[in-house]
Amino acid sequence: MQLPGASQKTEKEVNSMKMSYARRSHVVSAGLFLAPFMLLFVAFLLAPLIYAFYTSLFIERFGQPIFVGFRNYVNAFQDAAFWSSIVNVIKYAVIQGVIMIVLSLILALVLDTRYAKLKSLFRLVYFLPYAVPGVFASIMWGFLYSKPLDPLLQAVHFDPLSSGALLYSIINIATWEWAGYNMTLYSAALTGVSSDLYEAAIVDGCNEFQLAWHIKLPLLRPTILMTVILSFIGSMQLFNEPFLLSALTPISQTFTPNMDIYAMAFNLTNLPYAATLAVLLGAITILISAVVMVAARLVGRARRQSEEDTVTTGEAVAA
Amino acid sequence: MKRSYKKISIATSSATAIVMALAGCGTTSPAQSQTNSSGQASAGAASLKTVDGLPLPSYNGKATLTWWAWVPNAQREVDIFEKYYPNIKVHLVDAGAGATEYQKFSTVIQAGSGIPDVVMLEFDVMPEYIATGALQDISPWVSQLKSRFTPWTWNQVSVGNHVYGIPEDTGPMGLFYQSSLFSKYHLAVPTTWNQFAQEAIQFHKLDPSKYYSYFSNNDGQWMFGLLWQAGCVPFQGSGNNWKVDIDTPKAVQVFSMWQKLVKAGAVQSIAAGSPEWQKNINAGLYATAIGSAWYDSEILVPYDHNLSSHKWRAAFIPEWSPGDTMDGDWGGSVQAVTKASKYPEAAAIFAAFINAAPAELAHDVAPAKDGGGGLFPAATAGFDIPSFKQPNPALDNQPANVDVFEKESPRVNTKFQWSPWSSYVFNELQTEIGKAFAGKESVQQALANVQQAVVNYARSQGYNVTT
Repeated sequence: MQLPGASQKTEKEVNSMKMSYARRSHVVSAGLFLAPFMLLFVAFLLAPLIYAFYTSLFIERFGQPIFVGFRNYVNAFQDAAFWSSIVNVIKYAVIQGVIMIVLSLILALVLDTRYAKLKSLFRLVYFLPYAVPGVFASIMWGFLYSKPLDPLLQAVHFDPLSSGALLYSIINIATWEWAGYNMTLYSAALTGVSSDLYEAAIVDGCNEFQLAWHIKLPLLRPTILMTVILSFIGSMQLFNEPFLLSALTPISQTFTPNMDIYAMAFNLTNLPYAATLAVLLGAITILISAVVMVAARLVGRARRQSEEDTVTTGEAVAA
Repeated sequence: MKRSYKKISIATSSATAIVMALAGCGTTSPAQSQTNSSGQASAGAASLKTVDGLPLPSYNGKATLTWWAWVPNAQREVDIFEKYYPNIKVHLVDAGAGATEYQKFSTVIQAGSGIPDVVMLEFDVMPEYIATGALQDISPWVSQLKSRFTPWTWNQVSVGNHVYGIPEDTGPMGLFYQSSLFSKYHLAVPTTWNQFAQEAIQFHKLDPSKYYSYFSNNDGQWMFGLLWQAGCVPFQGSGNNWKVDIDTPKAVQVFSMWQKLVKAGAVQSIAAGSPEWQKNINAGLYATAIGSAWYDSEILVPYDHNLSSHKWRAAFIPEWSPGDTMDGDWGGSVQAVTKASKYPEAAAIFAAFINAAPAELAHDVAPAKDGGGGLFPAATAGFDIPSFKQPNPALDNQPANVDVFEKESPRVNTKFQWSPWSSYVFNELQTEIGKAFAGKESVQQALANVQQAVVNYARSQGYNVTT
């Protein structure tokens, strides 16, 4: 009697040992899989962020750091140039984001119809500008925008580099560069859709436009949300284009927040204040991105709710 | 020295003169310099000897120096120096020109390693690097050379009795004009800004396809040159205490005149260095240009390929009141010794020798394309060198240095100072003047905004600022 009991106990013990061994090995393997990401994440994101925040608590006097607490932040909140640069990039992000995403969607949907010819060629052609490094693109567009070098501009009496047109000229460069890239993302999402769905819709009498509007667009919604957020984050960090165009036309060093931060850090060697502005820019970007994501989720939920409501009322009526 | 046009800065501050006046240091300075020389003697640095006509400490040890500079044919300066000081070896490094070099210099200062012994800086960044403690006081070895330099330049490399670098070259401002256009339209060279403005309007009516002049809307250093020439003193102070006075009636007057001419279409507001500007210079679209002593070699020769038909000449800068002889400076540089240098004395000797020794000056003032330095020297002995006085082929064979710049040099206002925030100030001024010229605000408002922004920035950095 004792023996079986003892053996049971041992079995339990063995079992629990096995369990904990298995659990431990899970933890270890999970840790190993996570390690490369975590290492890079800590080394290149978390550590610099913390260091930037730490730096932002000092000012430099005669080469010596002096702790000032949050005084740099107090100054930054009163720094009109910084906030107007934030307003500049938000304006840029909204206008450029809308134009580019609408254009990318139209291109992707047109290329996805049955009537489109030479699809892969056009996909490549539209994608190519993305393959041109942003710096080269800016230099190239800079020459195109230079009135004395461009007979077309002379004919239409328009200067894309004048202070009023500058923001839109940069929007044009960015759209040229990124529309094809976003189009590729949408195209990829569309190829993932089962063709049964389209066939069913066509059997139900959908034309190509209705197919795009009622079937494809709703299916693209998650991809669109992702591209909106990525493009917004990219826009907040606008730097290359205005920085390079400033060789051609006077552009304030505080035109965009990143230019401001760059000038603070490298022209004025004011690293603490550059760090302060960088932390603020990061916080604003994260905040707005989070708000957009939450809002999109809430809107999506509300829509689903209302659709369900319609369906139930429909059923009720039918009954 | 002027570097590639794009980010030209002029810089400096006449800090010293003002500081001395403010603190009453003038009276104590002789005593202090005596202390310096005796201290130096006790340190074994030894008494002065005369090297190529220059009183410099004799240096018996061995030293190896690193020198960052962008002067044309700088290696030649090193070769000459090493003949006189065979025990001091100098390694020349091209770290870029102007802002490019400053970024690298600031980075190595932050890093604490890779710092050169001697670094080329423009006058307008001197106060910044003095304020951050990057530069070495070399007064024990060089203060005896003060009288050999154009007075305002020595003011801008020193604070009180402390000397942080040796002035290399300057850019006293002048008026450049195409004598071909002036004779075609029977224009007189303006001597006052009033005449300049009237003639600009008149000229534009005679030839609407051309501009009378251009306004460099991307060059804060040049704009401050205009203020300097008008007698404005926007910054005064040293160390922690600064007075900022940018939005004076005089400054409003200066920019209002340019705004009026730009609005009338007689003067073009343009980014100097841009392709459009280069094209316009080459096409002779500007009848005049507000430049300085190096303007012909750095701007006209590289960008205007029709010099023989345009026939540019130089003249005195127009004055705000008839009869005045006030000038400003645009461009000019310093060889400064860094605090990190292991051989500050050798570095100071090198910086002084290459800028003041007759053997070096002969090379410094020779045109860059003939293998010289192409500089308008800060050391006045340079004015006596034959090649300095020669007719200038780029300026219709006018001996412009003799006719104009040698005379303008002592007229440069010695009271003018640069601040430790030049880069910030330039950006603010360019931005606000841009808005004013676009009609978004008045010149008065623009300058008031610059004043406010600069004061706020300086205070946020812990400076004690009065207005």
